[in-house]
Amino acid sequence: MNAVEEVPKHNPVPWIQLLIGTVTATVVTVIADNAIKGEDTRPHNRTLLTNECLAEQHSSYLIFFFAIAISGGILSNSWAGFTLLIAVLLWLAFYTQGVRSTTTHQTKIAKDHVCTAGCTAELKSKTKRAIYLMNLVFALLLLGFGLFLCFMAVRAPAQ
Amino acid sequence: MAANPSPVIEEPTEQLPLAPRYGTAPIAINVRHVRTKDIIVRLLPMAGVVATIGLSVYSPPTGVVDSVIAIAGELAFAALAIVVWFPKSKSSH
Repeated sequence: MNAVEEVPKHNPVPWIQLLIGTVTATVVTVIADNAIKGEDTRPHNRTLLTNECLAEQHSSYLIFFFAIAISGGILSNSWAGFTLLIAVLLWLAFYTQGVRSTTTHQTKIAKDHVCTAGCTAELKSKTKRAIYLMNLVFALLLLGFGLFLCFMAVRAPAQ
Repeated sequence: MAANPSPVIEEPTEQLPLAPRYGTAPIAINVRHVRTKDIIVRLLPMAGVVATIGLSVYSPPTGVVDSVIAIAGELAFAALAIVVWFPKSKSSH
């Protein structure tokens, strides 16, 4: 007779995979949009597109945070719930600031060189960093929060 | 019965006015023909990403090796999904 029921062990892998999946889906839609609309012929497209991907991938985290809050049992742990609150607030700041940064590309490129249509000049490393470094840092921070919450979840996505 | 003479269609002698153009650039300068088939084919790696998630949810990996394989497999599909869409270096500068 089994008097003690075994508590299922927590497995963060499905949540990590869900996080990777949502971020990938967002990035792919941004790149596909760029290709289908023919914007891939604009000057310095790869650098600008990288920044746009980094900015837009933030939007996937809101969906992920809601999913893990509802289905992952995060709110049953006060420490994890507090972390989730901080993550959502950071998301709000990062997303707005990140998307705003995609509107200031031309100003940053203008400081590098005089860019006209069909420009083939190479951007300086400093300019590239100025374009996407902020969003890269934001993305890594949110990824850290997301991974932390994956390990704090007490239920699997479909449990 | 006498055959009816085929009707004569008169060709218009006057040229129809051309569609208006705005500015000096052709209207369709930004239109890119990406076939639907190409879009579907290039979205196939995303199906792999979804499949790996579904597999892990349906049958969660047990042990470190299984977990690493599951995540690495998904990352591989994710990288492929991005690479097939990302513009080649030739078209960017």
